[in-house]
Amino acid sequence: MSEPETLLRVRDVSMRFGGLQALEDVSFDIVRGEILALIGPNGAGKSTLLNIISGALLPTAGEVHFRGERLNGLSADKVNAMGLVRTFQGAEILRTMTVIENVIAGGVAKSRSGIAAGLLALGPSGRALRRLTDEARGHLEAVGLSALSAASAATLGAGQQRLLAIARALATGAELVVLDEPGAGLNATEKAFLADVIKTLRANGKTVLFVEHDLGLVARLAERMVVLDHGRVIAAGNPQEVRANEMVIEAYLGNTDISAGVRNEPARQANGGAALLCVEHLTVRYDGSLALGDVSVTVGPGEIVALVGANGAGKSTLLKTVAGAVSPNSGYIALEGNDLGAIPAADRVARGLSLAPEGRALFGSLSVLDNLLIGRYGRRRAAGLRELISPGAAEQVAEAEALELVYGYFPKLRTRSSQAAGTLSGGEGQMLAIGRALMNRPRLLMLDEPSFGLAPQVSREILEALPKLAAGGVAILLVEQNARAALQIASRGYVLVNGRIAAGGRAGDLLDDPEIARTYLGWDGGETAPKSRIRVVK
Amino acid sequence: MRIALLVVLLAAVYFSGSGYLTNLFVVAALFTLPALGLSLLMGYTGQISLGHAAFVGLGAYGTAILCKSFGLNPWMTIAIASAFATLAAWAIGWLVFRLRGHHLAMATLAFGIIIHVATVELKGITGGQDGLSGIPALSIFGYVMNSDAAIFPLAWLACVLGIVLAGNLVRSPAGYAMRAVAENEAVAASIGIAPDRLKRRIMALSGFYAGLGGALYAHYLGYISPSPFDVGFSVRLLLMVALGGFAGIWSVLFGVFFVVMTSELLKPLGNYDVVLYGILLVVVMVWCPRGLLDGLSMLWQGGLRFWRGAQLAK
Amino acid sequence: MTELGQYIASGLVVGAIYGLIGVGFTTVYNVTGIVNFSQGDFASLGALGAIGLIAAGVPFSLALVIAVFVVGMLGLLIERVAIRPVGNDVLRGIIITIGVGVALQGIAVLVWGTDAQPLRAFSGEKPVNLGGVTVPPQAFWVVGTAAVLMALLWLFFTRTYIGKAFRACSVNPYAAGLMGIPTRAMRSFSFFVSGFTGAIAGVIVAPIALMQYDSGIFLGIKGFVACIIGGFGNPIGAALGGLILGLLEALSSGYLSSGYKNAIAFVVLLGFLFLRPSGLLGELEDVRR
Repeated sequence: MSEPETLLRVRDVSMRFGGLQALEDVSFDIVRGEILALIGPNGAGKSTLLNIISGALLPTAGEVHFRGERLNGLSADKVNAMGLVRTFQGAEILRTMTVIENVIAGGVAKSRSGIAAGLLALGPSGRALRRLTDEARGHLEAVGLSALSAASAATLGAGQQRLLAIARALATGAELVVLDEPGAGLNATEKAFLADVIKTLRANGKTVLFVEHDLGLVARLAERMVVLDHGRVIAAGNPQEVRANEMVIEAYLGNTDISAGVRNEPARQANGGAALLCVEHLTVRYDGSLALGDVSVTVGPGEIVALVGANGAGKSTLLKTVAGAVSPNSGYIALEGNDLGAIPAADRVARGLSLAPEGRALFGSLSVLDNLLIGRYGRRRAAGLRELISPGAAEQVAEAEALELVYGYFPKLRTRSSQAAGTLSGGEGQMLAIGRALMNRPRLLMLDEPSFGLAPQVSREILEALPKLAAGGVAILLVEQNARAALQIASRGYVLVNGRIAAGGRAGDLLDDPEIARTYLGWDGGETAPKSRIRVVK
Repeated sequence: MRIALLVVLLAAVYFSGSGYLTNLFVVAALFTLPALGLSLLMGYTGQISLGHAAFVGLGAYGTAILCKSFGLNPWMTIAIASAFATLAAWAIGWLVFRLRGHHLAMATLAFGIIIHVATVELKGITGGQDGLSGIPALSIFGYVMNSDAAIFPLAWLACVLGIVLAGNLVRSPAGYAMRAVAENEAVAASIGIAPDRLKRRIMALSGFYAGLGGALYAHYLGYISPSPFDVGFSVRLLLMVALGGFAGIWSVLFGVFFVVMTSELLKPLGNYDVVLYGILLVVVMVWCPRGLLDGLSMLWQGGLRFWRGAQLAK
Repeated sequence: MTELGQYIASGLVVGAIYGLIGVGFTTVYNVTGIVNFSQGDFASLGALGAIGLIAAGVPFSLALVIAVFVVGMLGLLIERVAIRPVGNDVLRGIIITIGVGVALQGIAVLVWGTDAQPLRAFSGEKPVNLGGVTVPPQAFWVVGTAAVLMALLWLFFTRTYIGKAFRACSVNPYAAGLMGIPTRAMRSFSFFVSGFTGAIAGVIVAPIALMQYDSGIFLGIKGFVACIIGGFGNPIGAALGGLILGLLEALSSGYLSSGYKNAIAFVVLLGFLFLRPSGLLGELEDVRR
């Protein structure tokens, strides 16, 4: 046996986007014939790294070598010609083609059959096509899609699309196959099959690098792992080592600790426990894949409820569905006992439902004050068209009150009020996003990843403000990647795994339960909920 | 098979001796070549061009000027002019394909108009608005192609060849590459297809089709002026391709004949054809983006289902 | 010297028109992501409409007002019927707006024929002498109206609540929807504004430049070039770009040859597209991916 040969060598790669350091001194190797997983929480820099490796992006510093040759600065098609192929997060199949045509397209570049040959239908072109078709059949066979080869690619389900993307990648004949979230949106059966397919690739002499959020799938497949967090490699090695690594667990669960005594403790028994928000048996499908399956959630008045779970577990989808931006396939959503099913999104706002979306989504060219005032649009419109043109006395008072309330919670916004929202720092921007949602004087405030991309100190500042909001009478449904901190401020929590609720209960219990980290991280495939004190939600 | 049917139809028209039909078919043939080129570019490779008339104009003016000023053989000048249009298209592609979407559309439109303005303004070479007349007709072995019937075989020979070659191309591996680029350039690049290079080459090919069509047109009419190669012609080419659903070598023929015949039918009524073109373009794009035939057949099936439903209800 | 002043004066007049049309482009583009290739036809239709109404006996100023509002409503109708069903498909959007433009031109041919139509100047034809530069009185109407209209639009977008909501919608339609802003209505409204400003541009310029059915094509393209010069999506840039283009055209046709006037615009367009696609004031980040 010869020494294992390094196929891909990543050395000290750094990437800056404006003020954001997306990657910092990332180094690792891929050895020929292995399956390597690249993992890390959302925003860790995994996609950026894949884009650099596959030639779509030029790093600010550092080098990538493939088979000893430097890749930096080569275009994606040249990188592919060297023997490296990637898939995309959304599978990105070619929808206007049939299944087998997708795979044939993958082999075209390799066949070197050009336009002139195509025009004249010369021998080489015809032969090339026949050979590509034969090969394509073989690749479809390998991923189990043979039966569908003549079907339109657009009709495939999410799992089949992923498999097709892999077959197309194989058709390029590349030796290193880079898969970007191959398991996203797949159910357990499909994932098991996907794992088999990937193992077969390895058996057939391919080397595989994959990015994946489902740690269960990672545990089943990877021979080695590289863990990224905040753009740095925080751990690397075999799965046992990585699983036991405290830093990895912290990276996933968050390591922000909230000051003691700020936990939200609503006095909800007072009103007989009637739920403010009641979601029952909600099911949402995107494009054939299940985003939410039979999810039931309640939020009481003045309560903070945390929704935690891995990336892609369906947390944002739940918020968007409640807000009316996504239509559910089935299920029931009620606010204060009123069915919201037939209520359009704009009217839900006027009923006291606000969503501060992921990524803040500020109106960057408008001033801070204007951003806040726009937050009252729904209320003003509901009060009548005239209110939009010149607000009446009642609205003026209500608006001033709301503004004072927001400035009270976030005094920094007052000093920045005439500044353009686009010039705010990350933390101030998040305050504005929350403040804008509060201008509506919501009964229920939904926050999607409020601490995303913020430094620990700033995250803490934002999260510690939430119990004060709740004490002021606003119930909060909080989606937060920083699970530990979220459960420290919430009174109750739910754990979402693959679009289903795996566990739910008092936040303190979830936080203290050692099983919960396991469920959350899903190292074991995570379809089962942990036992012990936590009530398992069906 | 379809080629055989087409040839039979063409033979029937040719031997029918109807001057009207022959003329209609020659005009259609001369439109078909540039429309085919545009279909390869827009339909199969997904790149918009609003200046295609310019390549037709380059072919026409190229052959006319070479023929008249240098006294070269028309066959040779057609070849040179088509090659020139090809080269021009490649060069313009090199410039414009770094742009996308609206900017690509406007840039191609701008090139189209610049070339059109140049044909008007370079009076010394192009004759300005007066155009160039006395372009010699093509002849081979003493057979002079100076009438509709005389040029019919050549025009359709070129067309059928163009159809066959374009059909070959879209079925070949390169055709798959074109469709991949049309749908998703990032994916195309990830599987080793260089999108910009492919787009430039298809643009060049498309320029060749247009230039050849223009060159034949110049020798067929014997007279050219700038006005047939204006924006309006680019839009009409766009309509022909859109009516056929953009991608589809044979549906381009449908689009061409549809436009040629409606403009013939509406001629006595005045300028109604332009209104119709505009509305058709909107209707086709909004309701049947896969072409008028496809839209009509869906409507037909829908109507049939409705009728059956009504029957059942009785 | 007077010659130069003369060119500058005529350049500013034409530039104000290009700027107005550019502002129309910008308004629609910011909210819908569509470049309305029939933008220029709103101008010619506004002018021809006014001419038609006057011929039918409607009082002069009333005819102008009606024509402008009708074209605004036409913009609304076009959005509803032809643009909305297509969503954000850029290629289809382009072709549809081209189709709309062709149809509008066709209708103009049917109603007014292919001859250029005159509209009488708003306040006489007697030229005004400004230090040796003779300027037709209509020039003041053009520059004045354009300035007032742009100032009003600026006030609307920066000072009124609905205007701000409209801008919010163009910055981030998803977030605007979450605030309860009806994004669809805002899209329709953007087409109204663009039809309205386009028609005003057409009406005020008609006494200087004869209007015919296809005048809109070039006006539209020049308006687009104005946007590109100023930075697509930036209304102030569009106004500025219009003036720059107008001056460039006037100077080039004065000192070079009038025949190349149209080509100048395209050379400028291509120069900006390739060398500085974000324009002078650069608002747009996503021209080249």
